[in-house]
Amino acid sequence: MKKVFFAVLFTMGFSGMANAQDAPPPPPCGPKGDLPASLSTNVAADSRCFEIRMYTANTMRNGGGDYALAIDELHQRFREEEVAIFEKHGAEIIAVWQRLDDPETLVWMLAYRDRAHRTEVWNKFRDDPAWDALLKKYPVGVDADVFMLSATDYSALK
Amino acid sequence: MYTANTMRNGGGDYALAIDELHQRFREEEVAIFEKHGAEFIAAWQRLDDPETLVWMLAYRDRAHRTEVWQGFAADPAWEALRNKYPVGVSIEAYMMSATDYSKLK
Repeated sequence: MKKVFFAVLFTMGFSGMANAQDAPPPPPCGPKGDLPASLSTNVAADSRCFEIRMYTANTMRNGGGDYALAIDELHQRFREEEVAIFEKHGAEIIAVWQRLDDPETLVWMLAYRDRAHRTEVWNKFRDDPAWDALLKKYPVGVDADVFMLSATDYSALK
Repeated sequence: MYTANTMRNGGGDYALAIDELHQRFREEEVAIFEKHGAEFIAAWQRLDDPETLVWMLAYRDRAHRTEVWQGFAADPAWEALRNKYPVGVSIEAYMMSATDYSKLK
């Protein structure tokens, strides 16, 4: 029993190191032709790569207390420049919403040409000094729920 | 977000459940909602889960949503469509209002 136990530990440790050094490529997103068979059957040949991001603003700040304005600060960050920075780097911002079952949650949707384009947009966003400055001005923390999507062949928006 | 139930008729993987669900939308479900006044913005395949369809509707306001769904629920075309494609789904639904700075409102 002991031997088996150690063998399992070793395997887990090894695969963990391998992942850190050689991360698998991100899963595909976008046109039907880019996707594996298990996902592509109902997807449009000319679909873009869509992303829904739900940000729940962290109302605890600087170690305590309800920071009730966190969601307003987050919306202001988007309104003032975050949307513009993403557009500058090539994403389309389809929409930004307030979730109605949760006053602290902003939902936004982006569209890219495909997965490679998404990687390019986010790399440029992270390297942009404007984003660094904006985050310092509005340092609200968020919990993110993220969903990657491809449009179906019968979708109005593609 | 509709996650198709792959267990059907008491057991087994029913791998085509998501295709049946997409076909139900493609064939008539979208059209029935539009007939009752909703705008159908989009339908997507979620890429981290092969069994999940995501779709988005827009209404004028909450009262309009109630009116659209009542019209839909009472429509014989919906009953016939559901009998033709009786795939079960688990549902996650989010109601949202567009922000003042949103492109789509």
